[in-house]
Amino acid sequence: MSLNAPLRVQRKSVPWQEIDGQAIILSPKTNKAHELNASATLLWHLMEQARTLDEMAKKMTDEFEIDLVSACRDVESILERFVEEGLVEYQ
Amino acid sequence: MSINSLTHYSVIDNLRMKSIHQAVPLQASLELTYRCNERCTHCYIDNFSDAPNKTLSKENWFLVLQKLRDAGTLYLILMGGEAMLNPYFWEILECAREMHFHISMITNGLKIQTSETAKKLHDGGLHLATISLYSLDPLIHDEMTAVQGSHVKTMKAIELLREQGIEVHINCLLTRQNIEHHFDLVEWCVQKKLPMKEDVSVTPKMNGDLSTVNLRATEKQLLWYYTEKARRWPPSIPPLLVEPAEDYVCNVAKGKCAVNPYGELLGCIEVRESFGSLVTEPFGTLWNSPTALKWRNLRLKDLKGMKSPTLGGHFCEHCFGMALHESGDPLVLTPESQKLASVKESIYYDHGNND
Repeated sequence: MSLNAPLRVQRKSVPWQEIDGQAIILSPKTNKAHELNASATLLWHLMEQARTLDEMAKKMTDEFEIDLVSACRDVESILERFVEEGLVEYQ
Repeated sequence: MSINSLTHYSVIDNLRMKSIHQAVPLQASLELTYRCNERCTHCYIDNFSDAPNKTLSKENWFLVLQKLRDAGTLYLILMGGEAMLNPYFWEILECAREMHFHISMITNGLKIQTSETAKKLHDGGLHLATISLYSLDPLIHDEMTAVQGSHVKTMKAIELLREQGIEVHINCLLTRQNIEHHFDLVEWCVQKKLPMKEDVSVTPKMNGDLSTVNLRATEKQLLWYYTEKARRWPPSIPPLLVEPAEDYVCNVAKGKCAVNPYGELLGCIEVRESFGSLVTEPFGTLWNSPTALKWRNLRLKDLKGMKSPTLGGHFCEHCFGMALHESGDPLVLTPESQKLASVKESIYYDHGNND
């Protein structure tokens, strides 16, 4: 996965809810439930529409005290998990 | 940034605890209609029809869904009567899918008789179908549903749903009609890898008619059933419940709620006192109303006739709704709940490890 690739990523239509600022996502593929922290929850909201990785990383730096390089690393890391669980799709 | 991917049940258990303590309606049961294509002799619905001037439009069902979504509901249970007899069933299902609920449905399966219908349910976002099946014996099942041929159709629905990859669970209410044949059904479910939930609590009809309680299993039948269950599956031996008197009795109006076919918000399916119309009122207004708080705040210490819940434990699983229907007082331990507690106590001391 590279930030230079013009990939856009969007969340799939899966059951989820947000309670106390934390998203709970149910994965029909693996039958697991995932509890996201505040920053991962923001990422989940961003992916309601198709986004590029650098768009999301930039948004993370706007919302949290984090530099762009760290934000990119974190976004890539969590997207890999989402892909494994069948929660997002690339366009 | 973190994603805490524990097992489904670990995360969900935490979520359930949070929902109870914060009174977030994590689970909502929607009675889409009182209409039904079966006439189950034990059903709590007194009149299998909807008042025409009170049923909700499609748009109002969408509004109800949106309010539940905003209130924190994740698990949506579509039920009836037979949920699929609501004229807007498919639109409601689609709307619920778009709102990202986890959707399950309690159904008799009679409207699911083709692959196309089962596929449409799958594509519509149905995650789980809980099928009411009362016996492996068609004669017993059909006698309980009062619809000849219903057993064949229900069994067909189970297969069609599973072919589409929809998770299927079996619900079985145990009455004096079917309890002695129940373990045939249990073995079939094990063989088919179908999770099953059984219940011995036959509820009075919601208009106060007590005729259904005559269908309850006798004490002798219950003793036989729990003994046989303990022999086959020792973990099923009823536990001694040791709970502080300050504990809540159940989850009514805390982590769960219900909506009747007319859009009225309830604390749960059993407790039928309306909090008001969810169509016209904000969810929070109803959810924090004096009526809702009255049910939410009931604790073990409020029960009448309970033998010191803090001392030594008990075997009583009290249901406010059932007690209200049966005795007029939700806090009174009914003879039926005491009978059941007595049977469980007997099994516990005869078969449990009580060291």
